[in-house]
Amino acid sequence: MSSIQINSVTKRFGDFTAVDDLSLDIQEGEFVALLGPSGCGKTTTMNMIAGLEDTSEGSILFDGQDLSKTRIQDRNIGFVFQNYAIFTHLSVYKNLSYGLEVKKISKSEVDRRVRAMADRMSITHRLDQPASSLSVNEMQKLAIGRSAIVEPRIFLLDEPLSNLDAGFRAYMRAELKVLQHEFGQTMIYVTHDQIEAMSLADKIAIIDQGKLMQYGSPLDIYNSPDNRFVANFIGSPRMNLIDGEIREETSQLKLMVRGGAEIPLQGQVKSDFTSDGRVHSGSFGIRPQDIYFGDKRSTKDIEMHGTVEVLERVGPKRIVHLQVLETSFIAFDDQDQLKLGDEVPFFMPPDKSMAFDVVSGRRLGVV
Amino acid sequence: MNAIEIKNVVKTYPEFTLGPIGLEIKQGEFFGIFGPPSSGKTSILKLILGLIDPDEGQVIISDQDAKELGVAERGMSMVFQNLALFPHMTGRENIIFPLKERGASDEEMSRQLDLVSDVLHISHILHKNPAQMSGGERQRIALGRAFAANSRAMLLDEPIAALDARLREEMRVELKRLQRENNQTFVYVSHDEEEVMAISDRLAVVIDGKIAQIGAPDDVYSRPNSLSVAEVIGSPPMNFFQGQFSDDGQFFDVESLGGRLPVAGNIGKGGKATLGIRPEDIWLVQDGEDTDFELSISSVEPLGGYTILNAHLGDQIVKIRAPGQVNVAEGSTQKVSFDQRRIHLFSDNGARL
Repeated sequence: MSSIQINSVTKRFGDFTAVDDLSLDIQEGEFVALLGPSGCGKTTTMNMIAGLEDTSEGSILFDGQDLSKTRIQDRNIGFVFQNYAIFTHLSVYKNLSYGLEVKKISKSEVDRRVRAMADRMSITHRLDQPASSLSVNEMQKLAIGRSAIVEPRIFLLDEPLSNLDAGFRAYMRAELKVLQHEFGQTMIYVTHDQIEAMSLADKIAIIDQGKLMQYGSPLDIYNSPDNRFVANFIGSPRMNLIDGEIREETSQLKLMVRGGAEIPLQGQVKSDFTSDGRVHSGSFGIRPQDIYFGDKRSTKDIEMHGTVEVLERVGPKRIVHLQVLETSFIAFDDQDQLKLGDEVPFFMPPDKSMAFDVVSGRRLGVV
Repeated sequence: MNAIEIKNVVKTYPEFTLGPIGLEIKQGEFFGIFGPPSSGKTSILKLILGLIDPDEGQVIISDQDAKELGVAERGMSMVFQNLALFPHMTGRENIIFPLKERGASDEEMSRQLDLVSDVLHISHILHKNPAQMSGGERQRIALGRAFAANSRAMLLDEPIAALDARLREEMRVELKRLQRENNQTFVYVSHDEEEVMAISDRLAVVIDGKIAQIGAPDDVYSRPNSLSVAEVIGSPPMNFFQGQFSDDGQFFDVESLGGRLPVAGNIGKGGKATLGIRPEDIWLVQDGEDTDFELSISSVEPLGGYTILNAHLGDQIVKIRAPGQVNVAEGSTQKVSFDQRRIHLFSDNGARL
């Protein structure tokens, strides 16, 4: 187990800056997800931690120690990739023992650790069988087990679940989280899937174009995104983010949207938008589950009217797409009674709404 | 009127038999075909398109036996997973190609081009050759070409599977909008359950070459007609428990849960069966409320809008989906109640009871 400190790391490939002045503190035993769209620099960051790539600038410290001169094989790092890299022609036992035998550990100790790991993974009854006979499920566990058994100082996982189908992925997510708790190892998990990152990680580092956009616990990031990028990237279905001009008309502050829709600004979100007097164009954000229908619950709530354009059954609920002139809002049909073509009032609590600067993308007001 | 009808069709391959299949797709309907990989979904599209002929049964297109119709006469547009764009043509040329072939006027071509570029967000790539486009961009050009042709029906085989998650969410709404505006018949194949459920007016669930259920997404979700449909619809998947009816048929006993649930209606006495319940139909309850069972929570997945709680029960993981953000400690014991209106019971052979 190790803590990792990434200090102002930059990585350039020719003229291209893949990672740009990125700093992260990872505590011992923490499960950290590096999350971002493809090409954002998350895998490059992981490769630098692993020592597969050098840094152009900055340093990476393990327990305060610089390992940049240490050979990769001596850094004691465990890897799990998308492709399991299991020796299918060898037995499950041999797959597990291989990493220990290479390290010249005594036979009895190897046997003890292999059996302990197999037990933890519930694959003891499979030990003597060839790895090729395992189910995908067990194969995945074996891939993790054979990396974990050598007790690496850190564990790096690069999209390990991306080859699995949705149902099984949900199952493996739960398994992986329990395993991490049991191992207590520092884990760094690279993914582009925000649901995976939210459900597994203690902390998420969201990266876009080589830059760290936010670093925090899943719920902190979800409840209080620092900027428009994070607000848009985290959450499914995505947050409504509506850009417009901020204007005052007949003593009512409004967000005027292209196409004619107007969002009246009041309460908390109004003070957020006006907290920085220089901002004239803003982005109004609200999560779909915070929009409601039926009776208005508070006089402060923002009221609008929209037409039901599309209804989608997603899991236990229906998602509704409301059209207000040329602007579309996504919400949940919480009462299960909307019909296509209905024109309905809908409500948005100001304290659940968020304000962003369109130009810089930063969050306005409450921090 | 039915746009497409499939009657008792059987198609035999060396290691796989498709059918017998019966389907009626209405004019202007968005019809989804969902199933696990290699369950026979694409073969159904090929039958409709005329790329393969049935060994038995009939394909009927707009009240005409398709046997008498060539591929072109069927008037279908198809978008495959692996698309085929003309590499030497720009995006624009690719899209208007079928219209040009048909001798459409310049005015019609530019109208159709505008319509599809708007919906598919491709105006900025129309001048590029396929080689200069990303995979997602090529896919959208292929969709554009199929739409612009304005054919009788659109057959789509995993058309947006290669796009990233956000773009997929957006595209599925756009596709639906486009389909409704044109009042076109869409047949949409995907192995992504959430996508098919979200986009379809009705869908067919295909398992092992047979149609397991046809219905509106709401119906298939709330009343899966067999264990195999219940297993593949819903994410995270439904929880299943083996158990037995009490001798008087009033209760269903589940040993692994250490308890029983009352059963409405007289559906079984003393026999073995499988009980299914969706993660959102297991409720967290407080002390003093009605408790059916106690579960030990092994991990918590905070997803923001909802929370997934995992409880290990022997080899099984029971999943609970709680609305909002809940504060449950990992390792704690949680009292739960099963929503009795939403339990599903399946017989030994997998039929819904």
